[in-house]
Amino acid sequence: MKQFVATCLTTLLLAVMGPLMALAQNGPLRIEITEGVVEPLPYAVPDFVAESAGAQELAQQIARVVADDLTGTGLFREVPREAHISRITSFGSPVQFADWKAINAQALVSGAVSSEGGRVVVKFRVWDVFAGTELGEGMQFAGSPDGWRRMAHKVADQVYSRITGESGYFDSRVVFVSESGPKDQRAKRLAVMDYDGANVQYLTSGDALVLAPRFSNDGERVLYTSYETGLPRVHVLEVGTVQSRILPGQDGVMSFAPRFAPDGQTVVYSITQGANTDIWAMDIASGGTRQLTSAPSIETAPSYSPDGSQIVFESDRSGTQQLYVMPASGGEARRISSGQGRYSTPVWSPRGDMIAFTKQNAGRFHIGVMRTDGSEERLLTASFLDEGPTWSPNGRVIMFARETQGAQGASSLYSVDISGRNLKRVRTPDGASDPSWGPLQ
Amino acid sequence: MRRKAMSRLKAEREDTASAIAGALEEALAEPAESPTEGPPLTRSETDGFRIAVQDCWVVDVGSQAANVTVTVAFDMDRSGQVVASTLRMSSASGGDASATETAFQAARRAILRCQGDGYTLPPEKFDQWKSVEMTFNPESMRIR
Repeated sequence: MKQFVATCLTTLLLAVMGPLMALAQNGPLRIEITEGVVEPLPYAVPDFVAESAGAQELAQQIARVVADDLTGTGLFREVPREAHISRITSFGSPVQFADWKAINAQALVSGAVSSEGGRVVVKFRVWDVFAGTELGEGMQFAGSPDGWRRMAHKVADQVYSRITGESGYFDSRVVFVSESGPKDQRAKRLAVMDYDGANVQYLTSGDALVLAPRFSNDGERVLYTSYETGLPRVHVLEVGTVQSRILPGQDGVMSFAPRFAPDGQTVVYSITQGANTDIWAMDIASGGTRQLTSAPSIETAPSYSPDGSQIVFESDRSGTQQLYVMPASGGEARRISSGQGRYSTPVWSPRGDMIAFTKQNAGRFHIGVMRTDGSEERLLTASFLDEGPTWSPNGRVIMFARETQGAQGASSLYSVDISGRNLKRVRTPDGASDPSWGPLQ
Repeated sequence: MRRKAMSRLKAEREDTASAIAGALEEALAEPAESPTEGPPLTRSETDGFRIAVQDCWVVDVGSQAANVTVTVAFDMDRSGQVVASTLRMSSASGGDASATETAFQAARRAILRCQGDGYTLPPEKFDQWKSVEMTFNPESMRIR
């Protein structure tokens, strides 16, 4: 009875006061936005100011490389210079934000270059146009004239980082296998280049077949497989001196698919004995080895997690090539791939949250990514032959090799954003395969 | 017997009175925040404001910032323009400091960029929209 009376009275009160209450709103207007747009962010990079005689061309070149880096990510769109209203004529002069707003540039990069006595100095600032504020503080890099591209990449890395909040990947290098000659008689040699395909340098002569180069985390050494002795054997090369040596091993035993541990002290690789291939680890300093797998099947392509605690690898122990994760010390492995087709060449992301892989299914090859437990698999590419993914140092982009079909088919390098967008070819002088992305320099 | 019935009736009356007092107190309770005056915004007016901002909200779906939900508070003047100096992050969840800052910057750019000469909002209801809290939730846009 009492509840009934109370309910009736409350209803009555609400009926009387309702209209009054509807007129009122407590506190600020609250709105939730759940849909945005996925499109490149418009930005402007006017030519950098030349602050010394003769620096004009360099100032333009550096600004162009910065713009190429940023636009090449697919995350930014440069507002053409012809559309600029303002000119930056002095590095220190105030920015006319209204002029940059009018052309819808959301970010502005201003810079200046001086060149004197064989020393180049590049300085830059990044502006949030619509907020009318500077993003971070001005910064400068100095170096020799022939290092101007690196300085431009460093500027672009800073700009990228200040806008996205994540580290960049422009001042980095990629080691790969350069390929020349017809398909049935192809010469392969190790080469290293800037991430964008510039500054290619060859590391081996091409006399012996080489495969699967892998950078160390500090970028100073490269592991690779060479047929120099007739059988595949793992070698290690010092990038600075281009000196190479074969890692210790039994004569007549094939070793291949090497990769450094994150600390650079240990190497994991595969050894084939008879019909069985297993994964081993070697301490580089002592040459001591340890067998990590012992299944009567093919276990290969090991790759460490960034913390060095786990290894992802491929194995056909279930009847087809699949991906497995095991402790870095060996032991029980759990299968993580579960979709249709065959999985190979897994590589752990530098962020630690994903694994990139090659997948072959229904006559097509794909580059894909999945969570480290195998969930959320996504295929990023599809073609006649895509293989061998490698992560950019910030874990945002994947580079891989794509081979075209037919007797005249050739291999070249491509990159794709982990969102699956911005698939593009990386220009190299000759054919290219087996890329391995090094760290930021 | 009669005394017992009277006693029960009295207790019921006291309970009912107490329940009514409670209901009245609840219904007339002061809101936590002071109500603004004037008629509220209609759904279409609110939607128009929301759509205007979301058209400028650029989401980098592959970034760590795409895991961050951020709420941005700001004041507006009577012409519908954002008072830029009042833009502030009132709350955020889902990412580290760097990702949160990036998410806030993207939200701030969206709010400022799409205002043009001022958002189209009814001047007579200025009291309702002079202060805004806008939450940017990218959950449905993340890559999976």
